[in-house]
Amino acid sequence: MKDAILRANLIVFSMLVLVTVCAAAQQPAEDLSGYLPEEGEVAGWKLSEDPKNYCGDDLFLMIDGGADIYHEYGFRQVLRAEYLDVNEKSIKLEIYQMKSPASAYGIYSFKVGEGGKPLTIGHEARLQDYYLNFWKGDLLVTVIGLDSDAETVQAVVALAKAVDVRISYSGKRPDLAEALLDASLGFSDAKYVRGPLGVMGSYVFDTENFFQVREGVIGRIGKCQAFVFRYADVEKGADVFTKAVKGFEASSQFTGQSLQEGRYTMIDRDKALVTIGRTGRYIAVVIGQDRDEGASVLNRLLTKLAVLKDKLSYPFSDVFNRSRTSCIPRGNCFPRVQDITNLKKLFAVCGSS
Amino acid sequence: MNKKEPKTRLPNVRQPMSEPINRRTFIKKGTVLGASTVLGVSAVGWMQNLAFAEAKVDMAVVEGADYFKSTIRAVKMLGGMGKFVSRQSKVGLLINSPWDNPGCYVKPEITLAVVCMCLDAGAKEVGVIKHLDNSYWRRSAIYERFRDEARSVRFIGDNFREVSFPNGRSLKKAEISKGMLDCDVLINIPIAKHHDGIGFTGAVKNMMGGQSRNTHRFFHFSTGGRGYYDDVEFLSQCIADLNLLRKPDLCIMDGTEMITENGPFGPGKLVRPQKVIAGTDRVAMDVYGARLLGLKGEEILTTRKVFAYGMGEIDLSSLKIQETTI
Repeated sequence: MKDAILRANLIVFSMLVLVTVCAAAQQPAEDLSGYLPEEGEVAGWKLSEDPKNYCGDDLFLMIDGGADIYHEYGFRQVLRAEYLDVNEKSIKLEIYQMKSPASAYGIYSFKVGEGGKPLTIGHEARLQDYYLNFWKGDLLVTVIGLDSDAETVQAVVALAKAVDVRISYSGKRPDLAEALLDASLGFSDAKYVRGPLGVMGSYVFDTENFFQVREGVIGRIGKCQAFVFRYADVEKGADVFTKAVKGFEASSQFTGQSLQEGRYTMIDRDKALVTIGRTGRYIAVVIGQDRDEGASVLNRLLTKLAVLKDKLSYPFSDVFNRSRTSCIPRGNCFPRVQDITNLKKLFAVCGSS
Repeated sequence: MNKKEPKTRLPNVRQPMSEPINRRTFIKKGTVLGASTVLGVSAVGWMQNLAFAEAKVDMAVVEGADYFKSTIRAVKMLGGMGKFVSRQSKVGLLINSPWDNPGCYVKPEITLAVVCMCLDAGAKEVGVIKHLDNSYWRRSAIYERFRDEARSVRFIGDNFREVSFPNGRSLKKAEISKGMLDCDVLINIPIAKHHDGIGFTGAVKNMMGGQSRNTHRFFHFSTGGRGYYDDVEFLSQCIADLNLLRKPDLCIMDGTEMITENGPFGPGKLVRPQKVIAGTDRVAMDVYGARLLGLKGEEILTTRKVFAYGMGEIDLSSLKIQETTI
């Protein structure tokens, strides 16, 4: 009898948990206003007016053509606030919630560019002349001063730190970035990309997305530009390689196209040698003026990728989901992904008992 | 456009400002200058003005920290605003202004200078095709002095009309702002800056500011792309086709402070050439503007496509470009 009651209770409890999990999974994005520093947290600066929230495709209302790169990485919502000092000097604070920590790291790596000063804020932070970016969990935080005066920059850093302490969860870089950005390859100015737009900022191979980029790491190795693209499986990688070669053969942007021993080479308009190789589901491209250095870099990349093979998970659907996320009023807060995971764990424990 | 406006109405931008200047004092000073010119008191200035007026200048470039002055000077080097704006005309300004990060928007000082020059030339109405709010004007330290002029500017970009493009290769019809279609004088005021999607945005791309969101979507998605820039070839062709609509009567490009990455919204690294560029050849201006960012303007897809249409010159060496510093 006791067992029956216990079992019934467990079933009811499990159903409740399941309903909560499902509801949470379908919930719109959480309220980000809790991350905004309040008056007094950064001396001399206060929130000027109600912050503006843009969700899903509404990001185009905020930044129009600049929105697509965020969507390419996987965008949920952004909260944009303005802080003013007594002289009405302005600092903009933008908190972007992306679809995953990998997305947040990706857009961070895209936006920070070269140079700047690394700071210990969030998982990674970089301060430029008048603005600062950091990422933590699934959030990218951008703080922008409208000038590079020392006082402004000091406040930019202070605001960023004040946001950082309010974010209590963490995330990690995507495994492809973790694997390639260790010291062995010597990548610099690296960006984790999730689509063609992320690549175009560094090099325009074509206007038709020959490489069908859905995930990759790009940057510099030595004096060469280096690109690694990852595909769902070996067949997909081989198919893209074949189609890209066909595309480049017909391209007027390149000359001297040649396919030898599985490597495709061509010369671009700057007389740089472009070499493309493939191993498994990875395609690597190296561009450089020095033929020997280019070959050496490509060899090292392909060797590294061959070792990785299928060790890395491929977490991303090949279909780019640009579904709209609806907004919720300020003050409401729904369970975060981490909370849902905890509920799932709880459910698993109950189920096993 | 005819030349009804006397040049003496333009401010004497060569003289340092010893007092706060508004449009009235400009006009007053300009009148005095005009009188002195007639009397031969300022013979050197007169000869310089004459030289600018007589030599056909394709593009005027003025470098300096005072963007208001630079803009007036650049237009003056082309022959003055009276050459482009006739009395009682309706002027439409297409300004790249929707952003507020440094290096991402046309400096309000440049816009204010254009508005003042248009009013001074006798324009009946000056309207903006993209909405400008007070926060835009307030970014300028000289806004208070030109508040009346700024307030006189109307928003004329809210209604759209379908327009056919029979000669367009990709674009056959588009919804265009009536304000842009109906204005007597169209002044295109872009900023030369980086753009994630097509590499560069300047005078040619800025024409998209006059189209509806429906047309915007057509540019980006009509070939089945999932992202805004999946088909850059098609997008660039649409932009080139759109430029068949009408040639701006004047282009004034902000080359003062621009982002070289993370465009069009920023923030990103800045370059500060502190230049204002004026001309009527949007292709040449884009080539020039792109060079300020360290890009090869003649290789930008939109530039190549409008050049192929014969809308302008891609080879700057064949143009007379007048450059000066103030």
